Amino acid sequence: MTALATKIVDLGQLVQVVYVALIAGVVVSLAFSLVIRGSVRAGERGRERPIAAGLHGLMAVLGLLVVVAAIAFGVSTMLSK
Amino acid sequence: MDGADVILGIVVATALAFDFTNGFHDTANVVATTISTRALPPRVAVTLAALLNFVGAFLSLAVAATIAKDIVDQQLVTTTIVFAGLVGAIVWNLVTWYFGLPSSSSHALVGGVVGAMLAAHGTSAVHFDGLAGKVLVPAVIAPVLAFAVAGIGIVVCYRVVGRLAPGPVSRGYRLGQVLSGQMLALAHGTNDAQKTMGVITLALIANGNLAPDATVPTWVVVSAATAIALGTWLGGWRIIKTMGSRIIKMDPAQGFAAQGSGAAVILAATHFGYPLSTTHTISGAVMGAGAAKRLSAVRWGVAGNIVVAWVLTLPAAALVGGVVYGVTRLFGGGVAGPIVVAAAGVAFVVWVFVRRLQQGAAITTTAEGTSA
Repeated sequence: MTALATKIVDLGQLVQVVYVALIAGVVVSLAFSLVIRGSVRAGERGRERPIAAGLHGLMAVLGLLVVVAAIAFGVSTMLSK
Repeated sequence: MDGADVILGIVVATALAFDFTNGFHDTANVVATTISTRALPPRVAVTLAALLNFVGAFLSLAVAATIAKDIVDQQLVTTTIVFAGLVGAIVWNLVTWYFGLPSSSSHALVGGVVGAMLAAHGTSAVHFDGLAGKVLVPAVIAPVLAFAVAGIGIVVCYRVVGRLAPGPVSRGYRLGQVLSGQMLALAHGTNDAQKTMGVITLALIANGNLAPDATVPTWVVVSAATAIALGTWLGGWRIIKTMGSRIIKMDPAQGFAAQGSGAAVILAATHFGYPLSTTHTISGAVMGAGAAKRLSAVRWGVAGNIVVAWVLTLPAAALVGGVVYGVTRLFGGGVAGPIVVAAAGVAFVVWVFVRRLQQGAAITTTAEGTSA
C-alpha cells in the first residue's frame, strides 16, 4: 500500500512543498511583523531612549531584509525552472 | 489551410477564451483583500494584479509541462479531444459561476481533458498515477496547507504587534499587503496561465506542429499571459462597479497573512509543477486567517459549498468533456463538429451571462473579509 502510494505520489516532493510553503509563509509574516514593531517602537522611543530606538530600528531593517530576501529567493527559484 | 488547422485554430481560440475567463473569474480572489482593507485603491490594485499576472506567466513552465505530458497519453490526443476538454471546463466554470460556487478552473480543465480522453480512447489513455499524484493529492493538500500557514501566520503577527497602537500597525500591514497582494497576483499568473499553455501545447503536438518533447513556444506563453492579464483587468472593473460594496472588512494583518500564505503555497507548488487550484488555495488561506482570530468569522456554510464544488468539479467537468466529445463526433471527424459545438458554446455563454447579470451576481464569500 505504502509502495503504491509512493509510486503514485512523489512524497518527498510533496513534503518539500509543505515545509517550503510553511516556512516561507510564517517567516515572512514574522519578519514583516518585526518590521512594524521595530519601526513603531523606534518612533516612540526616538528621543528619550536613543539606544533602544536604534535597536528597534535595527530589528526593523533586519526584518525588512528577510522579507526582501524571501521574495527575491521565491522569484529566482521560479525563474530557474 | 486544411480542416485540421481550422480545428487547431478553434482550439487555440477556445483555450485563450478559457484563460481569459480564468483571469476574469479569479480577479476577486487576487485583489479582494487588498481592496477591502484599503491597502490600495481599487483601480491601482486591479491594474497591478493584471500586470503581475502577465509577468507571472513568464516565470515558469513546470505546470504547463505537467498538463501537456503527465495526465493523458500524448500519442492518443487529438485536437478534437483538447477542444472537447476545454468546452467541458468552460461549461462547468460557467455553471458554477452561475450558482455562485467557487469552483476551480484548473480542476475543470484537467477534468474536461480527462473526460474527453476517456470517451475517445477509454481508461488506457489516461495516466491515473499522474492524475492522482500531480492533481488529486495536491488538490486536497493545498487548501488545507494554506489554511494552516495563514492561521499560524496571523497568530504570529498578533503576537508580535499585539501591544502596539492599532493605527500604525494597520498602516504597516496595509503597506505589507501591497507587497503580498502583488506576490499573490504573480503566483496566480504563474500557475494559472500555464494551464492554458499546456493545453495549447498539447493541441499543437496532436496536430503535428510540435514534437512530443518540444517546449512551450514563445507565442503560446505571450498569448496566454496576455489573455489572463486582460481577463483579470476586465474582471476587476466589474468587481469595482458591481461588487465593491459587498466586500466585508477584514483587518490588514489578516489580509497580509492570507495573501502571503496563499502566495507561498502557490509558488511552492508551481515550482514542482503541481497545477493546483488558486481559488481553493486562496479561500483556504482566507479561512485560516479568519478562523485563527475567531472561529465564527468563517462562514462555514459557504466553506461547505467550497468542499462540495471541490469534490464535484473534476468528475463533472470530465462528464461534460466526454459528452461534448461524443456530440462533436456525431458530425464526423471533420471540422463541422467543433464549429457547431463552438457556435452552440458561444450562444450558451451569452445566455448564462445575460441570465446571471439580470439576477445579480452570486456571492461566494468564504470568510469575513473576503469577497465573492
